[in-house]
Amino acid sequence: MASPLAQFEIKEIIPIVVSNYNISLTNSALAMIFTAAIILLFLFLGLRNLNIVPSKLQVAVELSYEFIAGMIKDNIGKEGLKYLPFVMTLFLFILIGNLFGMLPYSFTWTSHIIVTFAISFFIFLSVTFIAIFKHGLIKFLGFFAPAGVPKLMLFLLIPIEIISYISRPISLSVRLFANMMAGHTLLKVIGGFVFVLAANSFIIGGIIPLAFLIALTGLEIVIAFLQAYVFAILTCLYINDAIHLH
Amino acid sequence: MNDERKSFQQRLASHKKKTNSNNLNSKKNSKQNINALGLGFKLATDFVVTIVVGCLIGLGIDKLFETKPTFFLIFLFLGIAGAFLNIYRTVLNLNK
Repeated sequence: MASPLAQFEIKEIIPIVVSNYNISLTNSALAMIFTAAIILLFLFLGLRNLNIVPSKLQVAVELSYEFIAGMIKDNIGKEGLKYLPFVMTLFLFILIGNLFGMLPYSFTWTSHIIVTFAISFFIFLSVTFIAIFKHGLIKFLGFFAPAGVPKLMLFLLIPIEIISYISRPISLSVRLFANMMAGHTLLKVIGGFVFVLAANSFIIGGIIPLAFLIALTGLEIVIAFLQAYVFAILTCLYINDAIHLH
Repeated sequence: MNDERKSFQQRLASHKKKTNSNNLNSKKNSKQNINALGLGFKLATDFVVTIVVGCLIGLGIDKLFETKPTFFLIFLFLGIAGAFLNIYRTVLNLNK
C-alpha cells in the first residue's frame, strides 16, 4: 500500500529545464494554477451582472469582501484599507488552496513548507519595508528597544526582541504547513485502517474507522477555513505593527 | 383577505424573531470558538518556533566562531524568554 506521505510527492508534468535550472510544471504548480483559476472564475461570475437584489454568487463575493474589510478595520483601522487587495488575495488564495486540496485526487500545495515560507517571508519583507519607509530607519530600529527600559536591560531585551521578530514569518509558515500536512496524513492513515480492517473482517470492521474518517474530513474543512483566517488576521496584525510602531 | 394578510404578518414576525435571535447567538458563539481555536494555534506555534529560531541563531554564531556550546546556550535561553514575551504580549492584546 502507498505510504501516507506519498500524496505530498512532487511530480513533473511538463519537464522544462533552462540552463541547469529545473522550472518544470509540477503537480504543485498545476494545483496553484487551478486555485487561481477558481478564484478568478468565482469573482468573475459573481460580479458579472451587478444587481441591487444580488444573485447568490454576488452575495458570496460581497460577503467575502466585507469579511476582509471588517477584519482590516478591526485590526488596523481605516488607514489600513489600502492593504485590502493584498490581504484579500492572500486569504482567498490560501483558503481556496486548502479547500482544493480536500478534493480527491487533487494536490494540497499549502502542505509544502517552501511554498508557505515563500508567502510568509514576502509578507515579512514587505512589512519591514513599510515600517522603514513610513517611519525611517532610526525609528524602526527603536522598535527593538522599548522606551523606558533601563540601559542594562537593553543588552538582554534587544536580542530577545530581534529573535521574536525573526520568528514571525517562520511561525506563520510552519502553522499553515504543519496543520495541512498533519491533517492530510491523518486522513490517509485512517483511510488505510478502513481498507485493512474491511478486508480482514468482511467489511464490518471498516465501519468504525470510516465514521472517524467522515468526522475528520469535516474537521479538515474547518481547519482549512481556520488556517486561512489565522494567516490573514496575523498579516493584518503585522501590518498594524508596521504602521503604528509602538 | 385582510385577515389572511394579518395572520401572515403575524407568522412572519414570529418567525423573524425566532430566526433572528437564533442567528445572532449562534453567530457570536461560532465566531468566538473560531477565534479561540485560532488563538490556540497561534500561541502553540509561536512558542515552539521562537525557541527553535533562538537555538538556530546560537548554533549559527557558534559555527562561525567555533565556540561550540556557548552561544547556543545563551540564545537558547534568549529564545525561551522571547517565547514567553510573545505569549505575554498576545494575552495583553486580548483585553484591548
